[in-house]
This record gives sequence, structure tokens and C-alpha cells, in this order.
Amino acid sequence: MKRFICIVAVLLLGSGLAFSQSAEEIMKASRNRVKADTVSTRARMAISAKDGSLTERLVDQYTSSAGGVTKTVVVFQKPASVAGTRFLTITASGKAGDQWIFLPSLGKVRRVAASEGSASFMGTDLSYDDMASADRKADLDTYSLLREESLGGKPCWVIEAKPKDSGYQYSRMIGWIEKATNISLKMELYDKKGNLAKIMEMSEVKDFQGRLTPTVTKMTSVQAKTSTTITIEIMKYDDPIPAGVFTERFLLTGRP
Amino acid sequence: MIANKSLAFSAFLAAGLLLFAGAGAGAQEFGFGGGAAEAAPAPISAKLGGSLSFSMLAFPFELVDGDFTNSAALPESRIQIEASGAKSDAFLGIRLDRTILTENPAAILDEAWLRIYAGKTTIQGGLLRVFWGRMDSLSVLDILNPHDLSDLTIRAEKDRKIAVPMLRITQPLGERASAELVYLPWFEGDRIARTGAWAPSRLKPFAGATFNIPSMKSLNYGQAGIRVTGSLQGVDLGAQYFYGRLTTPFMDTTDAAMYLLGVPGAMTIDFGYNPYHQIGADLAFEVAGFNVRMESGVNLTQDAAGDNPLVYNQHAVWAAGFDRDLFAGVNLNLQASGKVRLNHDMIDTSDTSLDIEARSGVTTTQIAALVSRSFAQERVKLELLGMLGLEQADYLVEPGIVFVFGDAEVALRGRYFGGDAAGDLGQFHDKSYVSLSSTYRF
Repeated sequence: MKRFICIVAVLLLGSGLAFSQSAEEIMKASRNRVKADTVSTRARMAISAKDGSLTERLVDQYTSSAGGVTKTVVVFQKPASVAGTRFLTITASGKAGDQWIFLPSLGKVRRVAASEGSASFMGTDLSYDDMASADRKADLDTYSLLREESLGGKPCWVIEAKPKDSGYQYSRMIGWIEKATNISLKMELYDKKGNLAKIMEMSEVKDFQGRLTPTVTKMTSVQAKTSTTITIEIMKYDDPIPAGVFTERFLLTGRP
Repeated sequence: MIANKSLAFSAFLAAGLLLFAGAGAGAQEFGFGGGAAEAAPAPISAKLGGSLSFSMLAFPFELVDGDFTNSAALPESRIQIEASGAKSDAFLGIRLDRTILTENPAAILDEAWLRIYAGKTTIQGGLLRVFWGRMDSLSVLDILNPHDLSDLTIRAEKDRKIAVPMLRITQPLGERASAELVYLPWFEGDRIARTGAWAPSRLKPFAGATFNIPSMKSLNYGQAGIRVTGSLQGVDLGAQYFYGRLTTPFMDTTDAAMYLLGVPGAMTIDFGYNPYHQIGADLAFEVAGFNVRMESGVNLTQDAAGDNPLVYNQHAVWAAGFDRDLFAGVNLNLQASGKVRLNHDMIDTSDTSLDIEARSGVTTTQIAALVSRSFAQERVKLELLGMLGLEQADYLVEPGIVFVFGDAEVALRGRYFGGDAAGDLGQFHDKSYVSLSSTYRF
């Protein structure tokens, strides 16, 4: 929960990997593909256990980027066990983010730490680092263009990124970027021992207000044999979001 | 009659706002409406929710004497109704369990309030639980609501709090600060067991005594406070002032002691609640992955000299704590709080002293630690809770395992009290218990 940045950003901007000169150009093009002042989404998370049983969560998210400050509010709508949980992140450019959470069971807003990078996000197969990967700084990785190949019939660049920080959750990340759209379609994430840990796949690309957007993201934990599928049900770009949404009052009351 | 007063107060407010909520309904300015996956806004919404739970308590020490008085199976239901209009919300919470139905029917109304959004100002009134301060537990500034201390099997801080009538006005001061005014029309103290498993040991010499507990549910006992909070440079700050009464009662045992000494009269114990002013401040910040929280304050009672046997001395209070992920997903939440009595040397500590503070030291310190780890996509959670009374060297240990099945969970926990038998925790050594509980939320 404490490193949740932006589900939508992950879906929109793809892997967040940064690459060497040619690879970096590809990634920049992928990252800058969609421009919007605000993004509002409703997404459904389907968390699949090893035995195939499913747990669902309905999550609303509001993001605003103005004046170099990114503000994101996440509201959990369902199930009843997490309904009413609200999470606020405010990140100024180049600074660590401030994060607060309101848990109905606690009845108050509390500041939370931006740690726990490799920990599971709300019981999903995504870690906090996965959720924050869209904001990962380019100079944290080294890159190489491995090859060009088709994925599902779509010509792609295949790019490898290796973190400079050995403490990072993954030892390397391989991404498939579709040539025609610059959309990231797939990522393979390798653990520190070099084993394939997770696979993230983006699909069901739809046009929202002239922006092509993958609406389904599936993260599979290869070794645990579990997965989480995030499906965007509603997507709005540049929809006005009251400034009061990004305040403690909204966390407490759900009112801007 | 007294209990019905709270009930009537809250019911009146809740009914009024339920009407208000509908009357002011209009389109929401943004978002996706309620739970349904629709883009259209919901002008009025009402939600029904709550929980059903069933718990079994077993006290292993009862195996010794074969008296299973306290071992029990406890079904409980909570029903919550929320109504929201464009400029108002209303909430009604009902709690039903065997104890409430048989011993305290007025407590069925667990919480009931209305909230009006008048521009930037939020006005909330009714039977409320309000949290002040920063701590996750052991807060010294969270003083508005009394606590139910009559049943130590109640685990959650929110459940221990007793909702009381309150008017609360919140005004934003810019984007990251706000001021909050509260007015409590009357006073209610902590709920303490006078008999039964959780009656404090200091009452045991007076078994059969008559307790005189004053009613303070009149406007003569109104309380009020102000709290200002804000965030600056990554630090959350707060400051508050409150005038009211300590929810911890004092007990005048003079008559009861005389009675036990053979002096003719009745064995009566008079309860009372000292008025006081509290001035406090708090902060929260993150450093190196540690979620740090701190509180400090001073409670100014009317016993500035420290020599009034029936008034608690003035005292300084503090609390500090943090939580952090340690390794392999193991989380530690450590909280501590304490009290330092002022003018302690003015207290008569002789053997015959009846000063309410004669048997306690200048400081009181508590430490609480919770270590937890989740597995299998948070479907299984292991936890270990510990509490320590530093001066009294008594403690509580509670290991537990929680299984989550969608909206339901099953928890197995055991709580062991140990240490000094005269301590707040150690006195319940023979009340250590095991609980198996299941809860379904809807």
C-alpha cells in the first residue's frame, strides 16, 4: 500500500524501463505517448490464488499533474472488507512522495512510509515497486536493445534493462514495445538469482478520447503460480477533478 | 433514563440529517458514483453494510476449578446504514450482542451522526467517535471519547471507544491544514467493570460495596476543545487544547475503609471525575523507512499543589512510536507512552493514606509491540502482540493467526497476562484466554 503510485500510469506508460541511447529513445516515445492533465479510472482487480480461487477488488483512482506535482487518490469501493479505504500520494518533482491512508477500521488518517518496495500491494501479485515503475528514474538502469520480434503478430522492440542498484527487487527486466503504437505489451521480471519471477502482460487496447490505452494488465507470479488481472472499466482523460479531492478532508469523508 | 438521553439525542440528530441528506441531493461534481460501474453520478445514495461475527472464548484456568463462568460463545451483529446527499451524509450504526441486549439496551445505538458540508466547512453532530493525536495505540492526546474497559477481550481501539454526543466543526486552513472545534454537551467516563472477570483488583477488598457514580449527563458538564493540524515539508503537525474531565475516575474509598475497620456506616465507594485542561502537540514523519509518530502534552488538573487526595496531580504525558517493514515482509509496530506526575513528593504515601495516587509511582510507562507477516496474497496473517507495563513489570502476550476468505475471516488468538499480580495487566493472570472468532463483512 505504501508505494502505490499509479495503476493507470503503469498501464499507460508501460514498463517504465529506461534504455541506452536508442533504447532510451524508444522508451521516451513510449512514456510520452499519452498526455493528460488528469486521469480518472475505475478498475477491477481479480486476484487469482494458486488453487484458482478469485478475490475481486473495485478501485477508483484520480490523478492530477499540475505545477510539477503529481497527486493521486485511490479509493477502494469493494469488497466490504476494504471499502472506504482511501489513499493519497503527493509527489513533487524530484522529491520523495508524501503518503497518507484512511482506513475505516482505524477511523483516522495516518501518514505512511514509502518503503516496502518488494512487498505485495494489497495482496496482489504487484509489488509497490511494480506499481511505481512508471516513475522509475531513467538513470537507475542500464539498457540494451536485445532484438526485434513479433508478439501476438505485432512487431516489437525487445529491450533489456538492468538496475544499477543491486538492492533493487529485480536483477533485470525485459520489455516488449510495439513498434506501431509505442505501447508496452509485455515485461519479464527476473529476481536477484536470475530466475524469471513475474510476467506482466498488457492487452485489450482501446481508444479513449483519442488515446490508445491498454485496458487489461495481467501480472503472473511464475513461481507462486498466482496472478492478478487489472481491468479498466471506466477511463476519463482530462476530466475535471476538484482540488479538494487531494486533501485530508476527502480521505476522511470521501467529499472534496 | 440516563442512557435514553444519549439515545434520544442521537436519534434526533440522525433523523434530522436523513431528511437533510435527501433534501439537498444533487449531482456529484466528479467521479463514477457509487459501487456500480457506471459513469453517471449518483445524486443520492444509501448503503447498508455491517458485519456478523461469532466468537468462542475459553479460559484455560477455568479447567482447574471446573467453573466455566467466563468461557462463552458470543454472536454479534453490527448493522450500518449510510445515506449521502449532495451536501450531507448521515450514518446510523447498530450493535447487537447478548450483553447489550440483556444488560445495556441503550448501547444498541452504537454510533449515529449527521454531517453537513457548508462550503469548505464541515459540521458533524451526533453520537460520535473522534480520533485526536497521531499514535496507532497508547495515544495520550486521543481524549474525546471514554473507553470501555469492562471487557478486556475487546481488541480494536475503535471498538473500545464509546461514542458520545458531540458537535464537531472542521474548517480547512489552506490546502494542507485545518482547524477542528468540538463541543461535548456532557461527560461520560470510562466504563469499568465493578464485578466479574475484568473488575480491577483494587476493588476486590470492597466486594459488596455500594458504588456512587455521579451522572454528568447535563449541560453543566460540557466539554470543548480545538485542534489544529497541518503538513509542512514532509511532517504532519498538530496542536490541541481541551477542557473537560479525565475519563479515568477517582474512587473515594474513605467510607468503605472505615466500614472495614468496624466504624458504623455503609460500605460505599464514591466515584468522581476530575476536571482538567489539556494542552498538547504531536507530529508524524518518515525517516529511513520508519513511520515515526510522537505526542506530548500536559494535563492541568485543579491539584496544582499536588496535595489534594481526591484530585489527580497535574501531569505531563508523552507517546512515541514507529512502524517499519523489517525483512521478508515482517512488519514491526512499536508504540510507547507514559505519564510523569508533577509534585509527586506532595502525595501522602503513608500506609494509612487514602490519596488516590498513594500506591503508584511518579511515572507510568507502557510499551506495545505488534509483529506481523502476511502470506498467500494476504489470505493468511501471523501476528504477535505484546504489551509491557514498565514500572509494574507486568505484561500481555497475544499470538494470533488470521485466515481471510473473501469478505470473511477466521482468527485464532490466545492472550496471556503475566508479571506482577498487582499490575494493570498482571492482575488478570488467571483470566488468560483463547479465542476463536469468525467475522463476515457485508
